[in-house]
Amino acid sequence: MLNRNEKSEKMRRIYMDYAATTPVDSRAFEAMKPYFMTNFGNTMSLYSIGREAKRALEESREKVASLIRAKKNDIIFTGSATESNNLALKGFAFANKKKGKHIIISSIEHHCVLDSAHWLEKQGFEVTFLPVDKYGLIDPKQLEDHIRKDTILVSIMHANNEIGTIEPIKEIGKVCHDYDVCFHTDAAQSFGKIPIDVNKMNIDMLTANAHKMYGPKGVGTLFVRQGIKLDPLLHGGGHEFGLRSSTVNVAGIVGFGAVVDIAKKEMDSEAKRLSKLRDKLIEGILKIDNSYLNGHPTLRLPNNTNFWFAFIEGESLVLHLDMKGVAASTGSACSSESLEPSHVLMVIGLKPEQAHGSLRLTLGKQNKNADIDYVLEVLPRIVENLRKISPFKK
Amino acid sequence: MVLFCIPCLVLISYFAILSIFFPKYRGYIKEGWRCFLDKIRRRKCVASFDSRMRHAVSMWFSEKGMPSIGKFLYDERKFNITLIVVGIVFTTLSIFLFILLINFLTSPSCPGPVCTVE
Repeated sequence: MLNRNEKSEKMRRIYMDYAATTPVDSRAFEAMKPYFMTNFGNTMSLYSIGREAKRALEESREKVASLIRAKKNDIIFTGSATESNNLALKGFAFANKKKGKHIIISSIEHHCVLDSAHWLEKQGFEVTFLPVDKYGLIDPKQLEDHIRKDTILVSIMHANNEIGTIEPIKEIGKVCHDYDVCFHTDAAQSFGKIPIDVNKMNIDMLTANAHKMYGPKGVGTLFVRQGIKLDPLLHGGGHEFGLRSSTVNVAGIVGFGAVVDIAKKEMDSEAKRLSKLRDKLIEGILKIDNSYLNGHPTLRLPNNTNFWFAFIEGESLVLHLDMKGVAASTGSACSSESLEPSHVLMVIGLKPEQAHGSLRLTLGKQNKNADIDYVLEVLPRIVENLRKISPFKK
Repeated sequence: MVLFCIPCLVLISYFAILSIFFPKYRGYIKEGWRCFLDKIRRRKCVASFDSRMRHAVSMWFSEKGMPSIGKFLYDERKFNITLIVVGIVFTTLSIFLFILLINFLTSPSCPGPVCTVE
């Protein structure tokens, strides 16, 4: 039985968890290398290697800004999307608390947004968690009904990390703009995958990171439209326009800039290619009995698929797929004593036992047609065998 | 406390024997040992070693046409209890065989585990 696991060392390994993280593109890695050992200067230094680091930083800032049609000086680099989201929510809330104390977020946001909002509630802010429909979509009309005179911020993610549903950001931005409410969107999953225009979409703040688009971990960005006031989370050297004091991760940011350049050239063709693979995967998996797609059938990220299978635990599916060489993720987060189902799946209407049986497969650059064929070959057998031993199937 | 660690020890012994003939199983001994240390510290196994083994074993029985055994072992508690029983039986048998061997080597004419010296 374990021979299969051993054979997987020689068997090809198929990575299908690109929503969690991605391998660094070799072109980005080459761009980063000089900034580790040769041009290692501090951007605040006056001498030549410091000036070179500063130049590289500003060049990357311009690249990131151009991808979302923003102005260069509206881009701040942070350590991660989590940090950017924390800064956007907490920084904005405290800087603008005199204007009001009501914040609206969707109930399927990433935990860094949800937990920041819960923390703000403890600090005296009022937070409305907007419901979503069975596909995870926000209704802009419902958002409009919840906006009050004291509403200062709306934060709705562009595309959900679990079910891939793409929100109607343009319509949401228009509602916020009409009511003069600041609009923040977490675009960590969509940045570099689908087009974003912060002006056409009326976005005031936007979060993104590098490691979800073949860049290095440890670098994120927050777009802050000119005129928006934020209280910084980190105080110190005054870096990043006083909003994020900390010696700048030049190498990481250069890598970020490099992958943005790559995304500009390859985004459209890659989105088309991945959409075809995604649709083939969805069609094939839905042929399995008692299997269902989570998220919107069409308004979803080009690389995202998420299913639930009746009578099965997602953790078992992931472990058995791993034995067959396929890396995937489930919608259950393991805690020390209990298996908690994903809050996103629960909010879109799944019961706990259904949410437990979920499987997320997200595609990327290294995935080819043959990988989809392989998954469609092994997954039905795994599901069939797991159902034979499942305690949920009577 | 010690009881919870026995399943890991049983798995380590299993892979230790296998790795004598097949070196590729040596990696599992290291993982099993890490899991054993985690269990002693009352932590969840970091690499989910015990969970993976449970899934592998139960799926093996299912694929070999014994789904009822697979279903039985799929339950974490039952899997651990089974391994604890196997561990105790294996240890007892080993001790018994060891005594037999010692007796055979020291006094080959002795038919059983306990012999009196006349």
